[in-house]
Parts: sequence; structure tokens; C-alpha cells
Amino acid sequence: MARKSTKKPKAVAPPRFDDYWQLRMEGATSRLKAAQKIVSHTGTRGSLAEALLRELIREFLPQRWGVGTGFIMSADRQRSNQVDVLIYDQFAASPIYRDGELVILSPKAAKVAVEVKSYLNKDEIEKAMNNIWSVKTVDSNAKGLIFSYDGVQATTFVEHVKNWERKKRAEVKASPPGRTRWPDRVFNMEQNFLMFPDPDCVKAPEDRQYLVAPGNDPIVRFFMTETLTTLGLDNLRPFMRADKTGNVSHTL
Amino acid sequence: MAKKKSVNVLEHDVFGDFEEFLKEVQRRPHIRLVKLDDQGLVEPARKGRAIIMQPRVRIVVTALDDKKPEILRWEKKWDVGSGVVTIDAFTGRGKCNDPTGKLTRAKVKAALEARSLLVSDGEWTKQSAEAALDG
Repeated sequence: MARKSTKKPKAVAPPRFDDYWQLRMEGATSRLKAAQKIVSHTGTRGSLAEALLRELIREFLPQRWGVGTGFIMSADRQRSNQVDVLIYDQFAASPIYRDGELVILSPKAAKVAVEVKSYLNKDEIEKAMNNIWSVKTVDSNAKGLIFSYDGVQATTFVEHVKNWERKKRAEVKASPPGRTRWPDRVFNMEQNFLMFPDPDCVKAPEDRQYLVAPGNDPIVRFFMTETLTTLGLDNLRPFMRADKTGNVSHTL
Repeated sequence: MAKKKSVNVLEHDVFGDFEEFLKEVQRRPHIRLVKLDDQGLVEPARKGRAIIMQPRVRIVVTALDDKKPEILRWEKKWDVGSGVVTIDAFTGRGKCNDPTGKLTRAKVKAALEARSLLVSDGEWTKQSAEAALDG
């Protein structure tokens, strides 16, 4: 007579969203790093860096959100500089102009503006900060981010930002908007640090303090959490968790 | 010609309790429309010497009293992933499991509509209210 098996059926492990999300973010990081390894031409690297990041974001978004590059222009013809990545609501607002990936948007259409740099050095820091500044001048509601694949170390980065600020203050003496037009976050993937507003700072937004800290989680993860959460994708919320930084290294 | 004086909209102190907000709106029967918004945001928060980037949900309900003119506001924020949010206004019992905010939004909307208020998406801000009233 056949004996009944006493083996218990193998239980299926409950879904581990956090592991899943971590792996997706690691996949994204590898993809961005791999592309950087094989392309050495500076111009091509720059375009590739932008295109890859746009593609990465697009992969996570429902059709409602368009991802392009371009400008924000107000009705009184005030115009931002060209920004590498603009995420805009295709349901609520029509681009003023669209040609492939190039879009010109009216204020409030863009939810997130990202400046992408393959190497964030002194010149590129200035360009990126100025571009986000120009976006926030036309559309103060848009979230401004800088994402860099590589660049100078955190200490040098902070020095360059301070120098840029000194220059900018001299430029806009008449009505200084202070730090309200600074990017909301700066991410540097290879150097593994990010810059963000100090949560304990009680000063007015014009004088808010920024902190720089290394990432204990992958930098791409910080970037994606920030972007996807800002877009209010509530079905993705269960996947999100707090990303951790290391100890704060610089204050500015 | 005298320059047209623009409207100065005041902001009422934020209501901590949804019931209080509702009572105040009902005390002003000319308010027919309220705006409801559900936003995701990431806020840096200190945890020991390190900092975490905490994804949060913010539900905000605003009503514009055009007679005064004044914005009435109730809002609630909680951590995504914490899974628990306390909403006393509807059940009186306290906690419900709502990591995504969808449930809370639906409950808030139902509570507003049950009091014959029209609910639209968005949030009144000082700028948008002044622009609307300046016409």
C-alpha cells in the first residue's frame, strides 16, 4: 500500500515588495552605469545620459504623464532655459508646442524638471543650477532636481555651489529671491551623495539651509522615490519606503 | 484713474480636527464648494545622526469663503508605509489601515458630499483664491 506522504506542501513566500523594489533600482543603476562605460565622447555621453534617464522614468509612469525635454513659457513670454527632462500632465494640459520629445509647456503643466549631467564639475554645476533657477522663475510649483552620473567630490561640489551663489546674488541684487529657486534635490550617483533642504531649518525659504550627505541606499533609488512620489502615483505608494542617508558631511 | 484694489485673502488657522473644519464650513452656508487634494511628497527627517527621505501622503481640504474672504483648511499628513493613520472624524474609533491614502480620500469625500458640499480636485491657495476673486 502506498504510504501517504507526510511532507508538507511548500509554502509560497509572501511578496516582498521591498526586495522587489530594491532589485529594480539596482537594475536601473546598472543600466545607467553600463551605458556610461562604453561611451567616451562627451557630447554623446551627455545625450545618452539624458535619454537613458528619460527612458528609466518613462518605464514607471502611466500614460497620463509625458516625459520630454524643453522649456516652460508663460503667457507673458517669460521663458525658462531648456531643461533635460520635463515630466508633465498630458491629461490636464496640452503642450504649447511639441515636436517628438521636445516640448514647450505652460506653467503648472510640468510637475518635475530634471537637469541631467554626466559629470558635474564647476561649469556644469553652474549651468544646472541656473537652469533650475530659470524653471522656478517661470513656474514656482515645479519640482527642480539635478541628477548627475558622476562628478567632483562632495567637498568640491559644495565650494562650487557657494561660488555660484555669490555670483547669483550679485546678479539679482534688486529683488533677490534667495534660495527659493534652488533645486529641491541634487543627486550624484557615482560620488554617492545628495543635497537636500535641512529638515530642522526654521529660517524662511529664502534663507533655507541645505545639507549634503552620502546615500546609504542607491542614489537612483532616492531619485526615483522623489520623482514617483511627487507625481502622486498612489498605487506605487506601498512600494515606497524611507531611503536612508549617511551622516551629514556638509552644510550650506 | 485710481488703481483697482486687489483682494487680500486671509488664511484661517489650519484645523487640526476634521469635525471642527466641517462645523466651521457649515456655519458659513454660502460656502458650497470645497477642494480636496491628495498629494505625495518626500520630506527629509532626522533619524539619529543620519537623515531619511520619508515618503508621505498629504490630504488637504480647502474651502474659500468669498464673503470674508478667507481660506479654511484641514490637512493630514502621514508616512507612506507606516500603514496606520488616525482619522477620528468619521468613525470616532481612531485607527484605520491606509498606507496609500486612497481610503482616507474616499472617506473625506463622502463626508463632504453627505453635507451637500460640492467637491472638486485641487487646493485653494492664497494666490489662486486672490486670482479667482479678482476676476
